[in-house]
Amino acid sequence: MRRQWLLGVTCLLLLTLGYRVRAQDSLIRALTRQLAITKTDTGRVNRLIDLANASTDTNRVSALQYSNEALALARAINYKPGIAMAQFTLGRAYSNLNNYDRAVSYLNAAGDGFSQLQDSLGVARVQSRLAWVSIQRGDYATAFELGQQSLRVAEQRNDLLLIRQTHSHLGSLHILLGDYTLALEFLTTAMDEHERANDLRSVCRTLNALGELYRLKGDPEKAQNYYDKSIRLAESLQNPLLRAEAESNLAAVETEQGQPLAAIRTAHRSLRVLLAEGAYEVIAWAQTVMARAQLATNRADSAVYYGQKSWNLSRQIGYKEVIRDASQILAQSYARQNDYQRAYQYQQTFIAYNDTLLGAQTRQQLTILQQNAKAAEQQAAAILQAEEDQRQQQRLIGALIGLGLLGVVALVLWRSNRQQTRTNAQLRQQQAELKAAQNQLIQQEKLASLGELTAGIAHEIQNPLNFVNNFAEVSVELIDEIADEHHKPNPDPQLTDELLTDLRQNLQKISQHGGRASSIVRGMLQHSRASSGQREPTDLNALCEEYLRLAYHGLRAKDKTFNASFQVDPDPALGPVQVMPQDLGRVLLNLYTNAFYAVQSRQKTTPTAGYQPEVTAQVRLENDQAVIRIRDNGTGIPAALLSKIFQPFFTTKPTGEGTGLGLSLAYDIITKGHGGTLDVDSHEGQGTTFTLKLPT
Amino acid sequence: MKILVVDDEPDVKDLFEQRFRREVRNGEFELAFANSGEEAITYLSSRPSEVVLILSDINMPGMSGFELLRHIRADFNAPPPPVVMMITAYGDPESQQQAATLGANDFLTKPLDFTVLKEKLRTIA
Repeated sequence: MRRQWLLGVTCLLLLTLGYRVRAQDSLIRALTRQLAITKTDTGRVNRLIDLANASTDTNRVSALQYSNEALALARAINYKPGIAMAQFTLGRAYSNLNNYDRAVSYLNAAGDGFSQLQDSLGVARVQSRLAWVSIQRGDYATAFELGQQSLRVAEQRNDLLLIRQTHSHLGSLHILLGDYTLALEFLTTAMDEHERANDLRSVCRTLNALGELYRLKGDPEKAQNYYDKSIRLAESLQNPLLRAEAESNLAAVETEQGQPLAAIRTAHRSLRVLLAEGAYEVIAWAQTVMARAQLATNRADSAVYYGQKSWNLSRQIGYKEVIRDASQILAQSYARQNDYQRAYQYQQTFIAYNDTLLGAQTRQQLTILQQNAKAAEQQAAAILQAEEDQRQQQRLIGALIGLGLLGVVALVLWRSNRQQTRTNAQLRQQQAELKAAQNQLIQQEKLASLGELTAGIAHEIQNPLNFVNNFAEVSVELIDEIADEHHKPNPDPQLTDELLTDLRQNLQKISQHGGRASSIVRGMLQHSRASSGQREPTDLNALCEEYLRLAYHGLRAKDKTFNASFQVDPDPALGPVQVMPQDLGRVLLNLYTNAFYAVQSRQKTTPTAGYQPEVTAQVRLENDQAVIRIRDNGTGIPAALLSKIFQPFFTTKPTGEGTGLGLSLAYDIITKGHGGTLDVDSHEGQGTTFTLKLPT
Repeated sequence: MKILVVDDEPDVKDLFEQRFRREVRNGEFELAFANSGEEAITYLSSRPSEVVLILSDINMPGMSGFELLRHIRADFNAPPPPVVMMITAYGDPESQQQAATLGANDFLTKPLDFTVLKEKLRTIA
């Protein structure tokens, strides 16, 4: 079933390929043309960043150059979002070039920049990239933590690109941690998501990762199947690097299946491309594969040659896993040459690196377990003890028997692996629970806002419908009267004229109220539909009015005793503004509902004579910005809480009444979705004003 | 009989004028309109004890129908006290109870049934 599905998907992908490859090139060409005509400096910075993004997969060096140029320009004009973005693309470019130290320092700077700009999505992108770098450096604890943080924010903000990238990273991480069940889950999810996004390069990488999963799990047939698919897709994408990466893995599985000659051919093909592309970490790995294949054909000399090359390169770039693997192969190869002194030396290096990597994994597990329940802590201690014992045993065996006992080491590795799988299962459950709770909260927020709308809408539609019905009935009466008048012997022409005028006026009113009802239905459909992400010219005066009424009647339907005056003070001079009306409507509904909630609370908790609850919205065109001020004379927000209100999950409502996501979503829609600002000014006991500024 | 209709929807005026066309023409009813509770109070102050019946919406911006009712019973209740009927889109028992407590004579829900309304008015006249 699964195989057929994959096959079908692959065929479909191949059909769209020619177009995709050209599309990438033409995107870069189009961006370059745009750059040439962009006059403003901030615009140039943004174009350069777009170019860096577009070329990150196809040309690592130009991605680096565009990023450098963007950073220099952004710094010169002190354009903070540009600086942070450029630092991020620069960090990503360096990580692609295996310069991890530089990558980390730029990514950290970008992370600081984004958090100063309160751009949590930017921070999450940085975290996701840092997670990837941490995987490459063998720091799995950090990778795990960063990956989880990034995924949390990505899911909160529903950033599909970041979600699928992070799923991919976490899949690769769990392969390394030996938790193949969870790894498979992440990779399958990522695969679906990449396909839906039609991101074929990522599909290709994921196929390769699935191959790795099955290779390490000990299912070479499935592994080979996935590598083949990845290679075919890379060919159609005309992406030699992706193809070479998958081939290096294919060579490894061929060696394991007792086909060293085929493996040597595959590895040669792969290495030729990798060397030309300068993909160092893959080169180092492919060289160990080659060395293993050579050793399997009893060519110890060639094995030493490739093993040594890999050892040197991996030491240079700090790729610990490959240093460990290369050491192991070198130990075996020198032993084959009867050079026992060197063999012993490399065996010691192998054990030392193996220790470090296993130690890092243990620490990683401790870090994660500390966040969990006490029961888990006890188990962690037990695991630590068990691994400590195993490590001592391992050193003893290594010193005593040296080369002869490789098998025992393998056994120990297998056992520690099994223990990791067990603790990971526990983590998985807790993670799933947390994720479910989070999704439920976001869903609740959406439902709450829909509930507020429904009641308001029912009332708003009923009113115009009453008018339509009434004026229609009255019109029938008028026609009867006109007919009566006609049948009289002496009809009164003046009365007939009067009746006809009224009739005309009634029909106009019917059409006017019918129009009012359909515009409300249209608004409702727009609100329930997911945002199209498209900006369209929108009358902000009308939008403010419409949602103010909806919010009021929504609240009124829930609490019949509630009453407040409300009105919009429109700016007739303000023309249509380019906004996403559904998203902005959501923001207005949220702010209005909060305002009504505040005046209602004040009325209930501190009833004073003459207190008149009031919510107003003022629309103004100020300095080329559309400004909406939503004012209430409610309870006000205590100064201590003002800084927290835009944070996700912050709410002052009783448990179960608010999700705490409303304002945080509103903030994102205004700042990120529209490039505007959302500010709050509040005095406890007097009221609150939210000021929303949108560029026109 | 003079009837004051209080509602924030401006088209209510046209609707009532047409629905009561015959009655107005033959002098049975006389209609006056106010767009808010405040306007209704001003009207009542300038014409004390002229208005026999008041039909008021409950949900209006500013002064609500209930507050208007309270004002009428406090300040414009010189005998014979005006008949007050409250109208609302929310026909819930709580609102009805509150209207009765504040001294309303009747409670009607939207959409208004004009045939029923006319009969009620005739029994008062």
